[in-house]
Amino acid sequence: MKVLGIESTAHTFGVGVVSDEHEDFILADERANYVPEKGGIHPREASRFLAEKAPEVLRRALDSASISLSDVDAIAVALGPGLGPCLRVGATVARALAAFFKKPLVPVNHAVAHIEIGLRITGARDPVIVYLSGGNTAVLAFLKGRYRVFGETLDIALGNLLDTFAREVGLGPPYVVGGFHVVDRCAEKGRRLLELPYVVRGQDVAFSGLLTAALRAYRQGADLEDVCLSLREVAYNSIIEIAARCLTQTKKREVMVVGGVAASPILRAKFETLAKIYGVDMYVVPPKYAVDNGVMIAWTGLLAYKSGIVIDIANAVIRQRWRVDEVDIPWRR
Amino acid sequence: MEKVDDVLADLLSEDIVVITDRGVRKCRLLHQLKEVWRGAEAVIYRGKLLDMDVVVKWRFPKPYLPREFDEMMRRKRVIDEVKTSLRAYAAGIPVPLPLYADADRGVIVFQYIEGEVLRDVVDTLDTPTLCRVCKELGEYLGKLHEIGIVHGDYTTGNVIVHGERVYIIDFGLAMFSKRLDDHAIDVHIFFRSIESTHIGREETMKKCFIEGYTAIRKDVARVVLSKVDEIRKWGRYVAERKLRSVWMGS
Ligand SMILES: Nc1ncnc2c1ncn2[C@@H]1O[C@H](COP(=O)(O)OP(=O)(O)O)[C@@H](O)[C@H]1O
Ligand SMILES: [Mg+2]
Repeated sequence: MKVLGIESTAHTFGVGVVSDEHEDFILADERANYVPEKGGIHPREASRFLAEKAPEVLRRALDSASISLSDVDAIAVALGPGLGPCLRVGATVARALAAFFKKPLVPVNHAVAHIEIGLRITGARDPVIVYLSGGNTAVLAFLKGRYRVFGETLDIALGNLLDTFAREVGLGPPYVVGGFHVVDRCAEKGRRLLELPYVVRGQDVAFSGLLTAALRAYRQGADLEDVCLSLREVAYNSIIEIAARCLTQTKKREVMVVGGVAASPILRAKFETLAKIYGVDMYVVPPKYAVDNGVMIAWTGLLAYKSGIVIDIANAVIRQRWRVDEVDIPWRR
Repeated sequence: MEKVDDVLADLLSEDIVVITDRGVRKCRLLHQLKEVWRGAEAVIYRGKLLDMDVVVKWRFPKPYLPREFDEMMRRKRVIDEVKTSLRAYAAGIPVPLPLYADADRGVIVFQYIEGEVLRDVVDTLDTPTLCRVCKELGEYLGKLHEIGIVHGDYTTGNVIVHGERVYIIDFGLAMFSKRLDDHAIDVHIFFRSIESTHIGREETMKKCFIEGYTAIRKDVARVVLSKVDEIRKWGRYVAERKLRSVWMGS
């Protein structure tokens, strides 16, 4: 079986083709990334970029898989969560293809897809999932047929925290240089730990108070390197703590870290220590598949399609706030 | 890794002379420690303090933290946990009494509470019983908030039930706050702990909890509950990536 998947929830238009017939399950993986000149994403500008790139990315994917659309068994598309204008681009393309080539259309939740591709690539089976993308921070685990949210950020995401701090103090953009976040780099020379607010509530974290306090400390003349060190320690360790809480509560034996921020070697080292303390296996999804891509949509679409999940073209509407724990996962027990 | 026996060596080898109406005898200060639970930041032991049944909560050093940071955190949490527990106890909320604490060593000794953790027994409770328990939980949280305490980890894993009695434990993340936003987070955490672990019983549990909470807080309850809705509607919870930035590791 072959499935083509379309990702267009935020800044990436991605088309992937996967198959369950080979060990090398990825037949095509093409992407176009919208990089804003500065600041965050402007949804309308991003969607214009995605719409412009869509035909070309689709063509490249079909070429590299050496197939035509009539060869695929189903078309999968990420219908949410994400930015409305961006989601609409992917949904429109997918509906048109499904109608024209008379293919079943499979709805995919973007967050579920991040998890599923992570499991497929790392070989983890039933881990505590720490999801750290630029705009989201959450701890999840599979329980009774769904991925349940055990903890999350109550305000801004870890990636946002680091990027915003870096921008405000003039360390970035770019935020990642040579695989290290500029805040990680700056922290290397830090000596003194300042007292900054460490907020863990239940299994949730919150970072906006930390951001404000760190910026205030810097503006009041504290050494930038000390502020970076303190900020990083507070932020990373609160993530480690909520992951540990989920591990002890669910008694799972694995932990999987996914998302762009997972690329931080410092954070990874902390997770390794954590895994050792609890005697669990640790997996990190490689950056290439931890960021948005079409392969993850195709792969999740394939799992879903095999479980009989399809959607009428007329009902294939986008869902900007589609929660991960609203999605049934019939392919896992 | 450090062991609690070393951390508490002096207490574990100290004899105390106990004088009662039945005479004078020597008694170990702290003895018979047995590990019963290993959590995210603490190990819990059962044991005896003189003749009393106690639990010892030891916040162990975390090797992934810089030492200075670790010591600061553990000290702060011990102090906060003892202060808030004592305040709650004084207000008549059923919590285990802290009997001894040592912030430098990260240790608190609590009165032992007999019973089961609610999380483990929810499935065995019939609906009226579960409702009664949750209503009490709503009342206790309402009272805590009224006296300006935020529990910080109000979940069914931190409740012990014993027959008719319900106890609130683990003030490890508690703090003093009168802000309704903080109170709403407590309620949100309770709701989510139900949704992620007690699938199928959510409705009873929430309804009865709200009943209890509202009975104590009256009009304020409405404000808090609408803030809870806000958190859940607008929070990151929905995996919306509104402020998404570009850290793609590439
Ligand atoms: N006072 C007590 N009496 C009886 N059991 C307790 C008491 N305190 C803790 N426990 C047991 O230890 C477990 C963990 O304690 P807790 O204080 O919640 O630590 P943690 O911060 O690791 O969650 C509880 O779930 C309960 O089973
Ligand atoms: Mg607890």
